Amino acid sequence: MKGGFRKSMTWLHTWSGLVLGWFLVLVFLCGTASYFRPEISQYMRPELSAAGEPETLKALDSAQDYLQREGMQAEHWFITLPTEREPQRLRVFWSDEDGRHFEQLGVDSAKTVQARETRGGDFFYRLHFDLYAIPALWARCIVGICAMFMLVAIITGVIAHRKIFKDFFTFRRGAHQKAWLDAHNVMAVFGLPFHLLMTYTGLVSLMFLYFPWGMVSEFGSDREAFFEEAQGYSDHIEAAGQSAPLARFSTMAETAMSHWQSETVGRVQVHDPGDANARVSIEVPDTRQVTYRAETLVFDGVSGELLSANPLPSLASHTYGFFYGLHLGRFADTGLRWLLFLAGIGGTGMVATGLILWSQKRYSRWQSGSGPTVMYRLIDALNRTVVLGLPVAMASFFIANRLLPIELTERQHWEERSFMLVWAAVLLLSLCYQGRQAWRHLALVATLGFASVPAVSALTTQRGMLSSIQQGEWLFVGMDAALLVIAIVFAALAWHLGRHKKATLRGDQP
Amino acid sequence: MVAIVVLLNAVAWLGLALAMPKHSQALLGKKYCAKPQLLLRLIAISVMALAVWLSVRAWGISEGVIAYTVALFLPGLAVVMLLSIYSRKR
Repeated sequence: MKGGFRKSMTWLHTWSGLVLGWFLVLVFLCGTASYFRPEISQYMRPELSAAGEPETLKALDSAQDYLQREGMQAEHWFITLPTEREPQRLRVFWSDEDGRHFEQLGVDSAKTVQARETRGGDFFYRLHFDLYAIPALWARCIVGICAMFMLVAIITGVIAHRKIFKDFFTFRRGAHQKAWLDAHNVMAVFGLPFHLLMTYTGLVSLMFLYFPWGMVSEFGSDREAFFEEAQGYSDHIEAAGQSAPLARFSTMAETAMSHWQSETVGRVQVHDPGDANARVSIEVPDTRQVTYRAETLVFDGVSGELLSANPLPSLASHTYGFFYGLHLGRFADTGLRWLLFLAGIGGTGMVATGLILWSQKRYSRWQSGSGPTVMYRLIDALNRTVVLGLPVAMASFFIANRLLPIELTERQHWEERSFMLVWAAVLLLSLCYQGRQAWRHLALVATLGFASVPAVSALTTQRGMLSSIQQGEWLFVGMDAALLVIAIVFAALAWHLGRHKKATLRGDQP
Repeated sequence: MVAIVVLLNAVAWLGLALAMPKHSQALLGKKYCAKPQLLLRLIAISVMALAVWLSVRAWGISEGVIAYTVALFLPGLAVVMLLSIYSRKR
């Protein structure tokens, strides 16, 4: 770290960006995909329609009828109702002596509907902070460290960039290495407020894990007591031991809708169903407000009477809810969600171009044999695995969803394993196959992967693009179109990398 | 409304770029002197302020500011690409 403050910042930016960049690409890309989590989930269950309007009351009646038939031995029921973005998705969960039960129900049938077992968009959402195959606590700590260093990389990047204003609009397409540098700078500078917001709010959303001492000093290990007090309610009550019939949930939901002036309600929880002390908690639906509200109305399960509503949240809870809601982005309408998605892609692109730049800068040194070749090869392979291997693995996840047999045991885990196995295969190939051509060929594989998803979908399901247009299933049409656009982007990248090779052969030096 | 805010931001970014001698030379073949540069900058900042006002009016203060912030990225990228392509053609 010789040579003054700016050089030190450049050194810190380069190496913290490189080491944590491998995680950050995963976190940013999967987090960005999570903006369309419900849409991805529906796309991955092609047996179910994704069209129509959410019918909350009818769905709640269906769920209640089903659970009164199948789950009367359980202590708790959880009902996830259809929403505007998932109009046909009605899910129930309960656990009893026979184990845990998840079922997908028909909105107007009170019967289970058969759909392939998949985690859909939830996989990307969880992967972006829980990672894979390691305990969630460890994963969240790793992601937290990465986010902290992301903040460091952003700040040191601004300091290291000497001509930040002069180069504000600069993109030198012809010069290869400089083009990657400019692309890195442009994506960083124009998305700077968004990158800062997402990184900071991501840290805040897990702050009780990173800074638990205030909570621990007052509540010890009883985290639930803390959250109940923070949210201002408690719905715990002992069962009476006397059976009593449940009132209709739809009537309670109507009360909740008029209380919140909304057209739907959020998740419904039932405690001690069939008992005289049964309680029904109805959560507020996702609204267009930024602030995430953990607001709940509690009803007497037998009489249907409204027992308690949350008081207004404290300023601290409101502030936390604002940051958390901002990070989730559920407030966004379709147009704003696309802007968030593109800015997220910009964040991924910023980290990815930084990693590519690292490889490009050292390529010439490696070619002349003066660089640390083993280390370079390893880092270059890791960069390629993360930057291009991750999209290839994502494409394989969609393809596995379409190709794995419906009746396969642990099907959803096999989808996840397909993702990880393909990613591991890319790493192995990257270690064996080096050089600039390896980047181009992997970009071509990503092109092929994303382009083949709509084709495989058309061949194996009733949701091909043309039939979806005929059926008015616009979500499936939109997802297929988006996957084709992603394929075109990777094709353009492969073409760009190939063009550079020709230029080099002609004698143009990077 | 998203489209209008994105468009206004694009206009503002383009104005700021043209106020820089390097880009005005590359794009228009001439460098502005100090006064037109300042005027361009003022117009661009006013257009940005208009975009902020429209965002806040459409979505409210919290969501409006976030929407505006997010809407800076895409038009910025588009202006940079436009400048890069057009400069090479000239």
